[in-house]
Amino acid sequence: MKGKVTMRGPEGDVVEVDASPESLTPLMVLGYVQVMKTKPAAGGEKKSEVTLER
Amino acid sequence: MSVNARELLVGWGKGKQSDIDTANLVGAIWRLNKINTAPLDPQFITEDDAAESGKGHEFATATYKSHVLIGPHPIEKFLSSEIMAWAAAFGLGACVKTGSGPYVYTCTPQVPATAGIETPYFSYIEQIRPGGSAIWDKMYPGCRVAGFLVSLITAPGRASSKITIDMVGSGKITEPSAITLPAKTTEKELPAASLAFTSISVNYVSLKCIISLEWGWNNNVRESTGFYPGSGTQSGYAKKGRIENGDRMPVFRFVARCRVGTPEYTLLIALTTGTAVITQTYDADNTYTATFHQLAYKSVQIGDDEGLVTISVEGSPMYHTSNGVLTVVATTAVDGICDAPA
Repeated sequence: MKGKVTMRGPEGDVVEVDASPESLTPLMVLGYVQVMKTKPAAGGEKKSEVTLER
Repeated sequence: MSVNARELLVGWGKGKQSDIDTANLVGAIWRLNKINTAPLDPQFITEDDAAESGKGHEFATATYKSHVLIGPHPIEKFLSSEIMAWAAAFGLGACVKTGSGPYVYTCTPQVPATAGIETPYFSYIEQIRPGGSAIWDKMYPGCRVAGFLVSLITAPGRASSKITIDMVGSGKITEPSAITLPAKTTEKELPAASLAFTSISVNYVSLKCIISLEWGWNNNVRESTGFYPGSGTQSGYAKKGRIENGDRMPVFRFVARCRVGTPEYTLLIALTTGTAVITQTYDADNTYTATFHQLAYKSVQIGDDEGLVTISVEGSPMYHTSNGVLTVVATTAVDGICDAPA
């Protein structure tokens, strides 16, 4: 696997880690969840990116 | 006019519902084949007043609506990369998706302290001749995975590699479903012949001694806590407002041929621990690896398979301080598995 994944911890801290099971598993065991940035559709009311939890 | 059981069309949520009561939208539903042909059979439970006094006799004089039960219902399938990713994501509860095609789903048991004890919910749809003269067209929102079991046996053909997913539902039923199921998903099946399997540093495939292997996960869902004051009703029958995990249990067992220097008894007696790593592959874009991070053997039994001495090993997966119990990494071309609704 390549690339980075953004994860948010139970305390709200955000970290970016390698997209590998070796990097992800210890964080997931601690309750970290993936957050994804999505851009709202053109013409939408929101101008900026929004962050969603998976 | 009779109906062939294999006319049944089955689909369910590829993505997760926003909550137990809100059904998947049609765009988040996929359609797949399954092996078992019996439709899901909702159980509407009634009760009567036979045990009450004041009637002048011991017989019932009236019946009353009690509650509705959905499942446990098995989904039996030949194992594919698509269903492995789905079962791991919905069965374990925590899932990270990476890649842009193929997609890699890294799944672990969810952490109760942060994610609670309800894994993601999905809608399950069954139809026979949907449309104006449907024989059967029901959607069951609020279903979840109670557990799954991957079974590999020594045999040729697709039956050598199967998965059984047990699902339970909240009791909510939408009829007709108002869902037009999409075309059947093309699955990349993972044959038993593609297995790679190492347990506590022993490679049972290269030794050519593996006979069968079962691994999986059981959420031991709580049967009765879903019916609470305010949990809701379906057609006047109480339905569940939550379906919670009980004490979760990993499953790991295998049968191998006994051989010179077979180490399993020694490993059991010494309480030796190690990892167990299971991989099945269609191609580089369709595969999975399940890793039990810390495992010992709970029992080892001598047996016989077609006249050859075997050992049956029951594993005891444990909690590893850094990596937890189990990680399943499934790779597939299908996007949107366990995605939250848009």
